[in-house]
Amino acid sequence: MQDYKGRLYGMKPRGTERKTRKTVHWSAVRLAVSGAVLFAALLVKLLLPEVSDTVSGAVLRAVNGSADYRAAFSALGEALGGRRAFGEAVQEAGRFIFSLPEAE
Amino acid sequence: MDLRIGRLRITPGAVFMTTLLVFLDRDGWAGLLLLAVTAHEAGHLAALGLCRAPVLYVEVSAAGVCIRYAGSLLSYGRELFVAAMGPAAGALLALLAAWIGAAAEADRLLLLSGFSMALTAFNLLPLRGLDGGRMVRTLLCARFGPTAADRVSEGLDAVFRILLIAFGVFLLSKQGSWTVLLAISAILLSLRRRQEYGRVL
Repeated sequence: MQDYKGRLYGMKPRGTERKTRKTVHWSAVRLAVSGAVLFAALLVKLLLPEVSDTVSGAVLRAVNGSADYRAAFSALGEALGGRRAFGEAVQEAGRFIFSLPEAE
Repeated sequence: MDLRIGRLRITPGAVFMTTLLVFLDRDGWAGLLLLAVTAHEAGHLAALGLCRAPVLYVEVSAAGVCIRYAGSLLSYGRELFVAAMGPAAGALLALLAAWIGAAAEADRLLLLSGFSMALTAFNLLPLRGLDGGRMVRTLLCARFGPTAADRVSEGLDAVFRILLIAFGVFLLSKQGSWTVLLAISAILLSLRRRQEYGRVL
């Protein structure tokens, strides 16, 4: 009995086919590991919220430094919503990101 | 191997980035950021639908979302329309969220508006692979032809890449903030990959 390539069933795959199969295998492992890490992160967040908050706070402080991007984006939204003048909001966003001194 | 659901492809990098966002998010800002990205991509998809351009797949990776379409069928005008509809949808979401947020005193909607506006502004930069770059190239192609358009858009791309990296380095040195430099590096690497694929948004 032969397969669609005319080879007998039970034959070992040729070199190039073996390589292809290996590549697919490793990318599937990467996907599975990413999924497992996501699942673990969700579990930690749900079961140990204090630990998760402490770690994420430390990571955010380390990565963001003294810049507050969340406040800067909020200031931008307030400007678009008309809560404050656009120029004033842009200045405030700049203060949150670059720690500029407050205008007199 | 990516996770495939219909024409949606999710890379391991996207799963990893989702993990990072879920873990770092303490008050729901990651969800708002994803909503802003979704509105932007929905604008492109709606435009492709209106132009009857077949979407081959939508890939979600660590650096964002990339739509691959059969663009050889599109005229310059339609290509410009498809590229512009993403930022237009983002700007519309920003204005709507700001308007409702200000009226209802909802700070989360104001934050969503800020995210969406920043995303729209970033996408309008004339970098190859971003909407702004695609729009500039299409306009130049229609006026001066593809050779001159490629030359000018490559020059603009190089200048803006340097400016963005310089901005990231400046924030790192002044504020000790890695965020912008890391985000820009990931996005620039992903844009290089997008250029290899051709017709993508």
